[in-house]
Amino acid sequence: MKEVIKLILSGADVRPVFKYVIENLYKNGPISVSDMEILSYLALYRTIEFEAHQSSILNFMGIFYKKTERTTLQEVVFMQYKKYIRDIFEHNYTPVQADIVRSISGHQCFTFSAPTSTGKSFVFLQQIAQSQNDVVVVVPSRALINEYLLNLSTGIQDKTVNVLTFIDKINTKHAKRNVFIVTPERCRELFKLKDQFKIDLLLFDEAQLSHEDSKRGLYFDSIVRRSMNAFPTAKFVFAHPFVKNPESQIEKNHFDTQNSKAVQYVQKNVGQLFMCHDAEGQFYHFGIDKEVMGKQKSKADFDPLALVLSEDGSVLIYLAKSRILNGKFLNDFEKYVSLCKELPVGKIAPYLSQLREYTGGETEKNSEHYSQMLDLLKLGIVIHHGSLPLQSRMVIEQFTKAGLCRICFATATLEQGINMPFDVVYLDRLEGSKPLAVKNLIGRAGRSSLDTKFDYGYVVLSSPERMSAFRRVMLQDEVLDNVSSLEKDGQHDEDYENFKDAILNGTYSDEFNLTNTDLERLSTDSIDGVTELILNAVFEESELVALEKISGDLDFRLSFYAHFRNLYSLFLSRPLSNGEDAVLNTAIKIILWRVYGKTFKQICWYRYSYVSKSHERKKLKENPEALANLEAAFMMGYHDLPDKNLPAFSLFPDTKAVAVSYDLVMYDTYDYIDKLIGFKLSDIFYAAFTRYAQKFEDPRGIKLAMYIKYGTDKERSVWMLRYGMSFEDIEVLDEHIDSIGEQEIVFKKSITDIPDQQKSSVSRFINE
Amino acid sequence: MNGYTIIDQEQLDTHITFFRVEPTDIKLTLKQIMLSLSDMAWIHRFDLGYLASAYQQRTQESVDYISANIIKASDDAVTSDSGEYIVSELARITIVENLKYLDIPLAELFKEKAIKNHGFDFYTRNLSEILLFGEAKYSGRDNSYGESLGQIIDFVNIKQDLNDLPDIDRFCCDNSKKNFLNGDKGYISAFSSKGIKTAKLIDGIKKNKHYALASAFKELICVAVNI
Repeated sequence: MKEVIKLILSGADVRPVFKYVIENLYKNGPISVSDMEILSYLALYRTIEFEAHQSSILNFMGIFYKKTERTTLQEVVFMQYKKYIRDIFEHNYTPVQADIVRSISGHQCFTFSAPTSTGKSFVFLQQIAQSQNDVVVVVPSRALINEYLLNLSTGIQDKTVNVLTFIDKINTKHAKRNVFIVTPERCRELFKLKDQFKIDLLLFDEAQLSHEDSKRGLYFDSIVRRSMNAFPTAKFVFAHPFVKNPESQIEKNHFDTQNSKAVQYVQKNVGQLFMCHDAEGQFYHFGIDKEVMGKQKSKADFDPLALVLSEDGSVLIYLAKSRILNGKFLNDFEKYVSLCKELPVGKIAPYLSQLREYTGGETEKNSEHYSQMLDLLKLGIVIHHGSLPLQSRMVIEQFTKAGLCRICFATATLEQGINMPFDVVYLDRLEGSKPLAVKNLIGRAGRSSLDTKFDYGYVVLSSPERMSAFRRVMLQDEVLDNVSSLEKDGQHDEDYENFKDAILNGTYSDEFNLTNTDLERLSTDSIDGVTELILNAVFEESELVALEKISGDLDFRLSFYAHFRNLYSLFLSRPLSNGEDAVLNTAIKIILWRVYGKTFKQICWYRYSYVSKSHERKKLKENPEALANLEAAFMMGYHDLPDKNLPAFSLFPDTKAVAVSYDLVMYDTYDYIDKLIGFKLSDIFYAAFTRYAQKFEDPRGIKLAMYIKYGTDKERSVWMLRYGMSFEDIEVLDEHIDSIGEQEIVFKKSITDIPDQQKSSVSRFINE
Repeated sequence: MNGYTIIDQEQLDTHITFFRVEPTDIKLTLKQIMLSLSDMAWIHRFDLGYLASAYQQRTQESVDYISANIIKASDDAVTSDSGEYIVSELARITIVENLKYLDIPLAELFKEKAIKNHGFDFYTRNLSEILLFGEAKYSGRDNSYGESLGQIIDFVNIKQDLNDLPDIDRFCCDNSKKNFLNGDKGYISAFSSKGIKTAKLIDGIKKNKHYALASAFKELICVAVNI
């Protein structure tokens, strides 16, 4: 076959094309990019002829979850397999799904890779639900934890199964077994409690994380190794997106090869066709394999984004984060934004109210905390990136799942990315250096449905110049290293090497999530001295000083921040750069607000009020000119620490106070809380205060450590957090809880009056 | 194990042979066809024989079901598709076993681009190294020689035989290809036949307008299969 796109567009006789592609499907399955492209073109341009072949196509693809008729003996062959799979597995699994189930049951270690929309999540859900004992799911990000939590909470109705996002022993009176969904970092708690659990299955999803040349990659491997030792009879499953050698997990972790299996699944359930447009807005088709699809691009007489939007479909647009944050994307994509009509208020109200409640944003343009992110939701336009607060992300993903999203503007981070299919994926940029991430994005094009039709989606490039790079990415195989970083001598910094040594020597502290070297650095006399100063400042007679004292007394506040900075500087054994100083000042302020029980939205409000000079603006109300010229205050934007070359920079350079974006403040606040405090600082401060308390028998140290880690030192509140409630949940639910402890939560009768949505975090623990 | 008996054989002309065949075990023929089809399907290799017996059990159920429909002369699509396979396969074996012509498997089982009726159904080569192109038709109601002969002539007109040649290349010797290119070729008309006397059936065939055209080639074989 040659020049297939031109042939299909030309109106010529396409019977030979159908013949060719159906024969390929029958013999080889849905594995070739070109075959799937051809089918998509035929479905798009030759609808009537396609209809006549549809049942053969769907049968030969093996997508048995779709209802099809059989009209030929060859279709009977596939129908027999369908029946056979249904009889054996009790589901209309695809051959790939059935093979995953069978491979898990037949091996101690099963590792595989599969394209997006293979339906592995459904298989995993069944495996987890059917497991007799405890299950651990390890994923790279909190975003994925939440995704699993949502799926498993709805998929496993049985209340004797705990579904938890931390490793913990709770609800023991009612729970017969546990499903833990954790990051590798949170998984470490498993080993402290290993004798309390009977782990049947450890499932490592997005296991390509182990390939990452970073501390996280090392840590991932260490968790696998430790799990193998701690749970020698458990099954291990590793799932990857498009990698060529999933067997690398067997090799790098030294699993028994006799009892292990690796498969690279290449079968696809949805088709894709590829397009690009030029600067004039003319769209073109192009194929991946030029020999088959055609060497030149072919003009298309339609705009796929406009077409899909007009048919109530959905479009995913990938942009650089900076373009999302500076708001320019709305002008650039005005044509498509204008196609999105306001959604009925009743449909979006529940989502908006949840988002308002959590983020503190408003949708009225002249309101103080106007959030464009929330306002756009009214049009079905979603903004999605790694700085979106987790709770907001969950709401937005539910919004999208409910079919309300028309356009999603997103960044391309793999683990943080939106994990949902769209009809069109538009790539505004193409990072050839991250082929796995790009392939994953492309995989979002085409929504797999239960309808009796061939599902396909469009991938659209923003320029014909990107076609070659795009083809290269599509054809390139991703190969994972089959030697663990734990066993490699690499060129890394001291911090990495210390970490590796600690993991290899078993001196990494699970209690503190730090290496012994780190802990030693936190045990010096100088650190003790600074810690004492901090405790003396924070406590008055073993009670926290009033927040007003900290915020009202500038000298006190400055010296207080200086103590914390000093502690961090001593930990690093070097002076801090200006930028580090500024980042720490902000981080400490946020930590304090949290210690004093402030919610996320309150913290955003405080920061917004400061940077947008809300008090001054109020005073200048009568002076519009001065108001318009008022500059925004300096506020250090989030940046990862440590970074000895970091300069201080303003999050709002050359910005007028009235133009400060509430959304930016909110994203920045979340980055501070999630990426810096959550991932780095809280471990260091927790360890410093705990060790000080142990050394000097000073209970204030423990108290502050608890505040920093949990935001509270009250046992009751800590239990609530351990049961998975957020501070926002606690505010609502506390008064309806009679008692709480390891065994169970005893609710008051009044819990029945609380709407389901507000008690969703604990509904599993409510026993009639 | 061949699944048929020849109940009539007649020479209609020096180069035209007529067979009438009675299937003795439709289920067996059907099962063989299905297993061959299944062997070719990706899903079969994917399954790697896992619980093969369980799968064969299901094949048997399908075979029973389809055979019953063929016997009832039911008109549904699968029955008709299966009927055509049976007619093809029995006609093919009859010729291979009784005339000692070359054994080439059914087109579906080896052709690169063979799906449903886009090309001849089976092929063979006679003892004089002439290639023969076979076309099978099944009907639940009538004798289907008219459709079969008609299809042969249509295919001749659009040079389908020439088109198919690359597919059977590996089964052909150079001489047979040379003969074909010189116009020396033959055809096989295979069709389902119903309760009708052979003499009347042959009479009907001879009166068919396509029969005269098909007779003009080097060899013509008509195979009536009683299903």
